[in-house]
Amino acid sequence: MYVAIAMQLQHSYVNRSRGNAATDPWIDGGAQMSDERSGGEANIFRPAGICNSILKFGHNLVRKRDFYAGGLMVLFGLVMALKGPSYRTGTLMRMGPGFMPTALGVILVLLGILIAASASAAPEDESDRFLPQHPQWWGWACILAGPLLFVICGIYGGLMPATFACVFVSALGDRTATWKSALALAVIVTVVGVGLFSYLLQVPIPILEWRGF
Amino acid sequence: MIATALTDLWYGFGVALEPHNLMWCFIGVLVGNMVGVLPGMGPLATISILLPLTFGIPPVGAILMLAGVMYGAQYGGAICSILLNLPCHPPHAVTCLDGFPLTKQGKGGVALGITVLASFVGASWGITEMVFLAPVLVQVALQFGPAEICSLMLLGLLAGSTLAKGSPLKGVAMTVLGLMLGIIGTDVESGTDRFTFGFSHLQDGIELIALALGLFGIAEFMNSINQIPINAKYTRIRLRDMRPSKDDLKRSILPMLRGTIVGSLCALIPGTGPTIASFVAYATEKKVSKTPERFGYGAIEGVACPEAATHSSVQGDFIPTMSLGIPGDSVMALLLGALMLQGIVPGPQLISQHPDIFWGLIASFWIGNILLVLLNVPLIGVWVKLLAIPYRYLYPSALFFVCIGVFAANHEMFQVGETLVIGILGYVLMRLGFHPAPILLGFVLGPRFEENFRRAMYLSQGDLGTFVERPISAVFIALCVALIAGQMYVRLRSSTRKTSGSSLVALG
Repeated sequence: MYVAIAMQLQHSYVNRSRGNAATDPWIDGGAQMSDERSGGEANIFRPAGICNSILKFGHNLVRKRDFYAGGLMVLFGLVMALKGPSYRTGTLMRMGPGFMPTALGVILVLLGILIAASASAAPEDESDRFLPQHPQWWGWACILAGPLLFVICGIYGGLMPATFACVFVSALGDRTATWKSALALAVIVTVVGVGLFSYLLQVPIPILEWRGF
Repeated sequence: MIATALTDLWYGFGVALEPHNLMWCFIGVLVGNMVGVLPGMGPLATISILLPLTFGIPPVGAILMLAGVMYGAQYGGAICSILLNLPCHPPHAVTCLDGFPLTKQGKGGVALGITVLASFVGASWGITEMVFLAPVLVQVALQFGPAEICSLMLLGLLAGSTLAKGSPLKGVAMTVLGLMLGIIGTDVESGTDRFTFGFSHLQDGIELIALALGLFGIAEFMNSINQIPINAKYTRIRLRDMRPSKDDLKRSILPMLRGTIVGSLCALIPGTGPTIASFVAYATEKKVSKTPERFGYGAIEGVACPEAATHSSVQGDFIPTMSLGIPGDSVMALLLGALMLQGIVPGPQLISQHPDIFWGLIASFWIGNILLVLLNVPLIGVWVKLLAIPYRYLYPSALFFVCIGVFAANHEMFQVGETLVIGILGYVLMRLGFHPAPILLGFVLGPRFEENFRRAMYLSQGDLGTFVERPISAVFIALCVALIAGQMYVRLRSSTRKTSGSSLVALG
């Protein structure tokens, strides 16, 4: 019973966080759902239902996000399970270093298959797409470029250029940002960051030093 | 029994009130609150970003500071959810339901005041529970052999992943993925390098901070860029707005107590963290209330009850984390990982080996909570101003803190790159409908799980039956089975419900 309540509530939370419900009748929603329950249980056992679901199975499988989710897990699991034995699995009594990876890999493959299979059972949901409604390619690129530039500039130039490059480039990712606002932010963060980490916390990294390629 | 607990607690206050420890606690609460209040920064992100600051501090001070950060971050998150309707932490989703309508009515200050009070009540009860229950639990846990520890971990991992959020199957998959990530690096027993793919930097394994900041930093920024609407309309709150009227107080005092009880009950069931506690508390309160129709439209009870439940259950979660070394949710896993970075292995031996940490921590909980109240009352105006900081200034600065924080951990640029890769992976997983938090749980427990599993198998001569033959272990395994069976039952029932619902729609 307890778990049941929790599950129901979680479900409503997930819906909520997707932003479907701004003002919330969500707990009431759960109650309505249980009212409808009595009628339809026989439906899924009708022959037509079975035929339909078999026909839809293949079609749905490829379109569902969960299919890819399961696939990714199978992939990770396979890497582990195939590479694991090369580290010597040993016996149950004296386990080698390869035992755990192999076992976990097999478990993950099974979980992946279950996830992919359950994808066909769940009803289609518009919010279940892999890419969000408005993909932010530019924003994502800027965010990822930030740490990358931090690493590169940090290795070849020191903390100051690394901080500046990281903040400046990642700041450009926001839709409302301008060159000027990004520049101003980068300068401020660089000054504060160098002061805090280099002088106050004594992180061992040169502030500005050209190390060449 | 009670007398020893009280003497130990007294000793703990002695430790926590030492000036430098008090200072770390204060800094932790202050910085945690400051960062936690920023839109888009949940407690997980806040703790992981501030984790590197604790590296230079001795273990006692570091853990006191982190506990302070956790409090501050949680309360900061509550401010953000009540005033902006922007929950960054799952438990706060419930607080929003009535908190934001209250804000729209101009009573946001009152809601914040009640939140401070509710969190203090909830936490105080949780701490009391911890003082008396943890030593008992330790006495029991000291009898555990590797088989028991293993099955207990299994229970913790299963509960933490299936009860957390979203699909239980995906939660378990994430935990297994976390366990796998924990395997990367040199095997302690045989010295074999596992899954290092030729990188010598990976021999020490993936860095906890890199993992946490990748998943809750970079992936989270990718998720929220250009998505966070800032509505600074309601952010003018002054100190005197926070004082609740007599009527508000009278209405929220009983819900607070009920929430506290729900929270502490949820804490006793392994794996049911604050998220479930707050949802259950809200639902119960609505059932109990004489005027359930007010809920969702700005009922002060709807703020008091879940907040009290969250805080009492967070405190309760510290009991298994500290006395058994088995965290209940990802926030606890992060704190546990931080302890391990300091060279302290949490577990039944912690109380006897490091009484200063254990009892100091408990005492600092109280001090931290009092500091939180003291800080928030005069500083609320400042926190509220922080809410108006646009996201476009926030995430680039945070990204810099992520980079330098990971670098400061081991002084290796390689790990910044590691964070980047984990961040991309985390975002892909998020888009595929996974919640990455259980990864942390698996990652932190992974190496210890493997070690104990090996030992248990060695002691039982390779007989897997040992897990069900030993009575205590058998109980844990039975609980695991019950958990899985329960989940499957709920899932099957809800899926028939959904099909019947959709077929009804189709027929109609």
